[in-house]
Amino acid sequence: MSHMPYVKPTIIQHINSLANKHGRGPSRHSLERIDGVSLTELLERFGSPLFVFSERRLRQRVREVRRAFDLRYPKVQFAWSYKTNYLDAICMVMHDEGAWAEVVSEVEYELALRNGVPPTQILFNGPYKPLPALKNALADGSKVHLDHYDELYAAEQIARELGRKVPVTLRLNMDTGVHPRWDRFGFNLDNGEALSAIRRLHAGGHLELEGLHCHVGTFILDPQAYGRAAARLAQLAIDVRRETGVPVRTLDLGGGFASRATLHAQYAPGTDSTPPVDDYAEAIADALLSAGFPPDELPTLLLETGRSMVDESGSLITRVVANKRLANGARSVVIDAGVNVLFTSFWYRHDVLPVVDRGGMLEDTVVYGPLCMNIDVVRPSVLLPPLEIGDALVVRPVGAYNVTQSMQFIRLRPAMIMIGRDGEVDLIRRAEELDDVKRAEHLPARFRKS
Amino acid sequence: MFDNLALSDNGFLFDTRTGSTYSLSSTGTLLLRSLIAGAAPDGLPAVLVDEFELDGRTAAQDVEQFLLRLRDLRLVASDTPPTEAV
Amino acid sequence: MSLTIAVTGLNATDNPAPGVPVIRSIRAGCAAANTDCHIVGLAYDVLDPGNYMADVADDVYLMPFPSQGADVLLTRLEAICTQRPIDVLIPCLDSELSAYLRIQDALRDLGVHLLLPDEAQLKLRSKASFDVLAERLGIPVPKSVVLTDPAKIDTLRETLDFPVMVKGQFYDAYLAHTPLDVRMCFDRLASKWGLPVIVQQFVPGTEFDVACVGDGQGGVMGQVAMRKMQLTDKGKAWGGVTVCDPALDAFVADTVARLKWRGPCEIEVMKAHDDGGLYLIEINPRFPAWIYLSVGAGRNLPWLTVQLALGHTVEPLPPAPAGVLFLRNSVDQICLMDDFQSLTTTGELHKPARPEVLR
Ligand SMILES: Cc1ncc(COP(=O)(O)O)c(C=O)c1O
Repeated sequence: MSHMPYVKPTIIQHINSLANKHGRGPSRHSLERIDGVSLTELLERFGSPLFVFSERRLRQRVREVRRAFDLRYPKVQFAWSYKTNYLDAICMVMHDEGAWAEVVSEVEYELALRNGVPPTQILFNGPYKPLPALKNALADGSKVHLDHYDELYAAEQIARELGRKVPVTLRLNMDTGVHPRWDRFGFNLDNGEALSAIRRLHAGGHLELEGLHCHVGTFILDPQAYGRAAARLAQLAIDVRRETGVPVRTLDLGGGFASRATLHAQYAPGTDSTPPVDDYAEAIADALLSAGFPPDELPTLLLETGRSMVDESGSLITRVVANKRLANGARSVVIDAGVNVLFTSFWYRHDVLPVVDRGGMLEDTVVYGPLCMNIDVVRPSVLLPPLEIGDALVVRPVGAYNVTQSMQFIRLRPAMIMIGRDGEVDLIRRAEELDDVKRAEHLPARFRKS
Repeated sequence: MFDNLALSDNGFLFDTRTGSTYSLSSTGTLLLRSLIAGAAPDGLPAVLVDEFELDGRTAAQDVEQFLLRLRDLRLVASDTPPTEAV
Repeated sequence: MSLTIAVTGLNATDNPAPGVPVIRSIRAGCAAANTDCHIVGLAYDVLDPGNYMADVADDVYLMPFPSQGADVLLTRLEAICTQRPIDVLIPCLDSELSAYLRIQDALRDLGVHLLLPDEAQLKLRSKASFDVLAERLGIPVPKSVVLTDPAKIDTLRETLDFPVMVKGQFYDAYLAHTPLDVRMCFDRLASKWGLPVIVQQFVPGTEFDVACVGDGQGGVMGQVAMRKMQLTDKGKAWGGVTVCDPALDAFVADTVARLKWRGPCEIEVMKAHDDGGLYLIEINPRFPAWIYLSVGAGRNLPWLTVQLALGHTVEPLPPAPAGVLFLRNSVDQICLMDDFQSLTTTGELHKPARPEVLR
């Protein structure tokens, strides 16, 4: 009997030495626990696949981001961008850490209210705010970010009805040197539309310009894009002050800081190429502090950071359901979680690593989801050791956008848990059941079997 | 029939006929070495079971998959019957 | 004294990495200084020809690709250092530099010395920052426009005269005579190298390439200027000759001074046909592959780098004399299957100690 542990019999051909493209680097990784909690035990308890959120990690990150800004600028307020992840447990952590809410629909607005956020601490963005929602938000003192002229007219009408001047924020877009350009939201600053809108708003006499807002884009890797945006917002605010005599009280730089995920198109891993949050803070604070505001009129800096706050606190644990050789000899595995719950796979080169590495040769592997759809690819290529049916893998980071954009396509959505600060484990969303999905449907009587 | 395969103990395989080179895991090396030494494919699961703490079914399945790989790579003739997984 | 020096990038094909010529230069420097040296080659591919060349590396280690990140790189180097402590490491590939910058403090703790620019200098030399070079540092560069949006192509004529050079952010450049040409290049470059795409005023003239080493305080410790005589189909130098032009030397000294560049680099300069003006075209943050020419010209820049990295006081070298020629050749070398097997299976190759006479 050998003293060596058993590993799978494997043979790998050297194709243009590609089998060695990773050198003899120590590229073996596995992850048995998150915050000390065994992932194998979690799967046994809650089933597979399973979203796992770390409260510790989330709070650490929020504090790190907040600190970067607090150190550099005296008046900063974060608002949690709901669409990034609106699991109640996540939102409550964010609010507990002092964040307001940033919402982009009446649905999200309602969610924020239900989480106990006062209307005055809700920033309301988005190109479509149904009239009743717009009315409520303005009446209750939420910070409404007007997206276009029609919304401006509607807001004026509401102010007239309310019989008082109503503060609003204008959303702006501009060329900050990033691509793609988010120029479909708000008023354009480059072509003068923004300034005309402000003049028009002021002349109308019903609205008061409280703030300026600009969301540059998402996963922005260049902190200087924020420096440019902040400088231009600040300059506009100063011009407006001179022209109207009314100071702009808030400048909102939106969200968009990159998380440390790795994009498919990136060469270096996100852990190396994503700028530290201090760089973003530095660029924004520099621009604002050097803009020339009188000290007593320094505007409050609002930020709607989503992805960068929550992405790395989320992991997806999944099990291997099949090993398979493709027609060209390439190795693939099928796992029990697909792109219906891992929307970011289209964009991210997620870390995929075994919970337990039982040895054996690493081999380039395609990781497929379980959907009967050709696009269901979680990783087109990743080095993995031999895996057995039932072996668990970790996919990360998955904290941003996956939960909110997941759907019950072909398979239902899995359970989600949060590991608390003391290692306590709580179910924060149970696995979906067929009735959850079907409850909203109605079958006409004529189709019912008696 | 394997006189074209130069297999070293560290799992490096050179096919003298095609010029291709391969890496094998320790168990892969053990199995291929057994084949080269004249073992019948049917006897391979037993080689694994003897050597490791392994149940017969896993051994049979792993051997079957390994032989299929060897066949894909044209290292064994495609008419070598794979062992039956039980 | 005995030194262990590690050098990366042992690819020596028709688009070679500088690793092999850097090693040959260092060996020449050691021989001249009567210093024992042990060379560790850090290779990315089992089939890099430099792995197998006689009298190049004493040990070869396969490295994880820079795309795996700085942590993986550091772990690998730590493991290598426990076998063979490294005194000086010279990275030779653009793509490695930011990873090496990240881990250079940790490497210093291991006793590994590097001579690298800092992150800010590295960023400034990227093509997308060229206008910053011009505006902030006053270095003459061809007028350029950084494109992130193809819609801007139509307005290029307001700033630039055609023809123009259209460049990818990392590699590749095309000459374009019309906005339509630019449009085609834009799509090709953007899909290959991402955004931005840089459009530069084309300067008709003669190109000179200057290898140099900066001391990080604004001084040039040594420089060798070369004019290409023969090109590969990829436009790489396959033969060249050293030149000596005080105006060019002064231009390079001035550029290095303004950047406060630290470590090796290759500066590409265009001398305009019309008025003889000099323009900075590109800065590569590492030695060029033709760096062995510096040994021929009596200005061994890799050896100089080793000494600077070790913190030795050295006098700056005067610019190289003109008229030293190099022609590259290609040779089929016989390699041992055992060596190939060793690199493949263990990621390491250790050559037998070199006989005394060869040193
Ligand atoms: C207006 C607005 N604010 C904030 C965000 C959050 O962005 P991120 O998650 O990239 O920080 C978004 C996302 O698209 C947004 O549209």
